[in-house]
Amino acid sequence: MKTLIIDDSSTMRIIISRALKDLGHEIVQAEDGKQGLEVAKAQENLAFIFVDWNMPVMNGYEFVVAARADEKLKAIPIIMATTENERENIQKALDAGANEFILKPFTKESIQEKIALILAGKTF
Amino acid sequence: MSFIDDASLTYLLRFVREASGVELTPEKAYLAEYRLRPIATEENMGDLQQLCRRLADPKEAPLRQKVLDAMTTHETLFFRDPLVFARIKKILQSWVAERSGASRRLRIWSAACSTGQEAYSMAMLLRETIPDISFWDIKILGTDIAAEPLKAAEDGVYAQLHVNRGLPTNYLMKYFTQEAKGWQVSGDLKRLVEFRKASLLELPPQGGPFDLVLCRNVMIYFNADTSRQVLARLREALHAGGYLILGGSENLQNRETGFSAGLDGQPCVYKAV
Repeated sequence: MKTLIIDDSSTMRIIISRALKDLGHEIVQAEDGKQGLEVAKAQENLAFIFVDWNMPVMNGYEFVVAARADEKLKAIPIIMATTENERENIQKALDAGANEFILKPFTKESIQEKIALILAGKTF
Repeated sequence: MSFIDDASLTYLLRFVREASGVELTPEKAYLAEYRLRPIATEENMGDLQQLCRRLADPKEAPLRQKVLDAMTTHETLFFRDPLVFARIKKILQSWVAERSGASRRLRIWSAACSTGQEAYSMAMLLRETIPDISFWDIKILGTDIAAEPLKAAEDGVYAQLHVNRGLPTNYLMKYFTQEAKGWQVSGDLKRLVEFRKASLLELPPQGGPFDLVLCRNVMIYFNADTSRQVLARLREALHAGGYLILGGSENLQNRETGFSAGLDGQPCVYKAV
């Protein structure tokens, strides 16, 4: 299973990578939304995308909007991993097509639990 | 001087077992030191021996509760094992299809509910599954032996770290309000849920018989005798045809219990027969 992590902080990319590698994910990375779009489009069989909100060049919200408008990326589950915890913004990102939010600070378990939730599908 | 001596540790483990059924082995000595040293310091006691001497005094109920809270596990999260909740949803859907009029009554028990995430997950699942829920008589009871976690459950305010765990973000938006103290469970959920202090070793709680009992990741802390005793109580608490939900990695094995085997290949879902 291949997952893309988009975050301008290398520390955050490492933290998320570690949690996902425990689940057997192969990781690809990008440092901002624009680069994230390029990397995502170049992949085959991308299973999940983790994206930060506040990044230079193109932020996470803009990335979600662009990904949902892209034929190849529109159905890939996107999890926003961010300090952006204002209710209005979370709703705005969900409305734009983000599947889940994980709010910093988070733990390895919470990342894995979000994956389990998405893998279980919209079953409840 | 060491905080723990063998005789005090033996006494402490027996105290925890008799009060809660939880079986801790002497290898858990580090846990006793890690969790009880702060309590001992707060109470101006230097070691476990002094603490145990006070535990033996029945007048020390608040201290006994504090030690019990500290020595039992309160780990929980929203929608733990999502596939199990998907299975519970199917059970609820079958009841929605079968029941009408006065039989539209559901009693659900979250046994050993800790800080309440499981009870509130059930409340969300019910709201999502039952279209005309206002015509139903529904009560979800959460019980636990630990006082502090129960208080947190009643308050229904969860920190960022807790809403990150297992809670679908669209439910966070729908059923919680964001306040300075954290994320507050909505009145719509709270109305369905009631919390009460109770031990699994005692009689089933009032408010039953229940249609569904969740007792998840609890049996693993009990020895075989206590498990059998608790399962008998859980069976007693259920309607015939009701369901018992255990943890994702728990099963009834060969225990004599009055439950039929797991359904749909899910070992943690059992039907009361």
